[in-house]
Amino acid sequence: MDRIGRIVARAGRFFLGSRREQTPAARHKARVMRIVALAILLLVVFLVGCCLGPYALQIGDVVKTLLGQGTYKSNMVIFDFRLPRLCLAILVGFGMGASGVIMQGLLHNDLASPGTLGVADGSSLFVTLYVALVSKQIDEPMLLPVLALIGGLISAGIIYLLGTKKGKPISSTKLIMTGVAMGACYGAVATFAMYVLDESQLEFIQRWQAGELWGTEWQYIRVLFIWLVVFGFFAVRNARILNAINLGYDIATGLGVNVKLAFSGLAFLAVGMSSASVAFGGNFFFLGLIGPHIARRIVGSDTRYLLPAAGVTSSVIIVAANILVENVEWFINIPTGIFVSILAVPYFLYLLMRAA
Amino acid sequence: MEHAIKTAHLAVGYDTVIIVPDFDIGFQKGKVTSIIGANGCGKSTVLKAIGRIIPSAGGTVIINDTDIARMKNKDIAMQMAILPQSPTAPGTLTCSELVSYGRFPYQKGFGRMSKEDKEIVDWALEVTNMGDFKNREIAYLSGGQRQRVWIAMALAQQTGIILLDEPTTYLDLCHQLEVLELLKELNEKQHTTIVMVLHDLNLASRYSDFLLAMQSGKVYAYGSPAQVFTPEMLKACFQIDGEIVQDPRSGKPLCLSYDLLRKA
Repeated sequence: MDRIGRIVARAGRFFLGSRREQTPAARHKARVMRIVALAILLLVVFLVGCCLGPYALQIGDVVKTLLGQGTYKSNMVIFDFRLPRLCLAILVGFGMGASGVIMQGLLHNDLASPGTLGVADGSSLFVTLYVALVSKQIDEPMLLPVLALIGGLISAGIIYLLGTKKGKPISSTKLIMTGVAMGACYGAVATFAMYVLDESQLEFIQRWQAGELWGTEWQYIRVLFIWLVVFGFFAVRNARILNAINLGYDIATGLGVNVKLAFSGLAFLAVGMSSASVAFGGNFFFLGLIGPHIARRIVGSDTRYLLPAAGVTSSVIIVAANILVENVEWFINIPTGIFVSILAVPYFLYLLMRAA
Repeated sequence: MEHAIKTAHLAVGYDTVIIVPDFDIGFQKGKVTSIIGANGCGKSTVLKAIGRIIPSAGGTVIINDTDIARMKNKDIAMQMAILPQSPTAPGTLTCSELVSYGRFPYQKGFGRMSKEDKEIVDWALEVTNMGDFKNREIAYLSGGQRQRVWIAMALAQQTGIILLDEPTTYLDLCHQLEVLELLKELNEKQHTTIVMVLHDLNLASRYSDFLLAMQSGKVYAYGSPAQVFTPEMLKACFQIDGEIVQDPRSGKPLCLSYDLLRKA
């Protein structure tokens, strides 16, 4: 027991410990080490996820199968059942985590995320309306992220138009309030649209909204992967600008950032990443809140480290939640997104209590 | 006299309310100028409009003979640094990290610091007397030290002009003097043009080459402290009846005692 306690304490110091004074090189090294450690953690939960399930596998067999030396049965279990879901979960984690980092940075508010700003609701409304009005089912994988992106961009655009004024600097509070109000509005319309759905459509939409990780076909995963790589590339390239905006819009302006332009561009990237994740994974907006939050405590607020760290952290959370949902009898049939939300609530209450 | 900043018919305001209708002024190169005036007179507004933190509703701002409307944001940032009122930074940044943001307009791509960038950051920290704290996180600094780090960031921008909006707010007497001494020193050694908004009239008088007194969006008086800091100005701009004497140490005008003007 004592040993476990010591190990936990050491791990806590490794991830959360900070020193008052540290040279830039030492800080850089510590952050990179922490990101590497998070990535190893992700690898571990990924392998555990490969092992567990209705047909449990030994870790040795999993590694063998992944390296291409599996039996017919283990190949099927891994490549047809577990791997697609795990890959999707990891990608959704990255998308929501990175999107949350950008939104929180842009709005200087830890509660900003695709979910709280109504952007995810906008994406979700668009998909629902499409299923309800145009198509009985979605058979074109490219269509979903595009639909979700259009919905997300329209809603983000409306928020931006209503929440900013020409000839005035950006106010983050106003944008957040507008987002919350518009999100409620989209939610209401989406609920109303569900009345016209038949049973199978309704089932799909309901599970999708709850965060079901449904798009487990390789073609969907490929689309999401390429999508996130492209958007993520531009996000990382602009990390420096987000860092400057982190200091305040006034300071960023003084440093030579065209704040309104940078704001629109970065918001586009954030909406793009969250929309695609929402499209294939379902509603995981708590992930976009909690992932960046935890990651910030681990690597600090420098976006260049925070983007990858938040992506990996969110992936670890969603993969772990997915393992629990699939394997613990109590939780079976709870959609992963709902489960993540349930897990996130105590964390946020804890943060609130600490802040008070 | 050469002007570092010149404005012509500059108009600024929020929504439909014009706070400053027509502002024509030239700030002299290599000098310290303080803008003074009562709350709401438009002094911060003017400073922010010159620093393009708020958009202007009309008129032009010219820095070093170029209209800023025709300059890229980055190029402006290489000529003019702006320190807003009580800025806040993530407390987990170290001093040198914060100061390194001053190199932003000179950097490209991922923002790797060149050798020159690092030397300039170290220099800025030394000049502001923060060299010993360069690896310390901002959360562990005092208010005065924090303000000095922000000034160091502005210095790392290596601009000939620095605008400051009430740089001494929330600081105690000693730290107020420290900050103003630092600015004076920069002005003397680097010939930096400094334009700032100051609330404390006596400090403004003591540390400035020029005072600009504003009254409801307009220039009331502009000149040396001896010309501007007068009982008449106090009456017109602050509704104050003040006793002005000569500071025995600095020789500048000093407001010794003051009362509210009795409403007749």
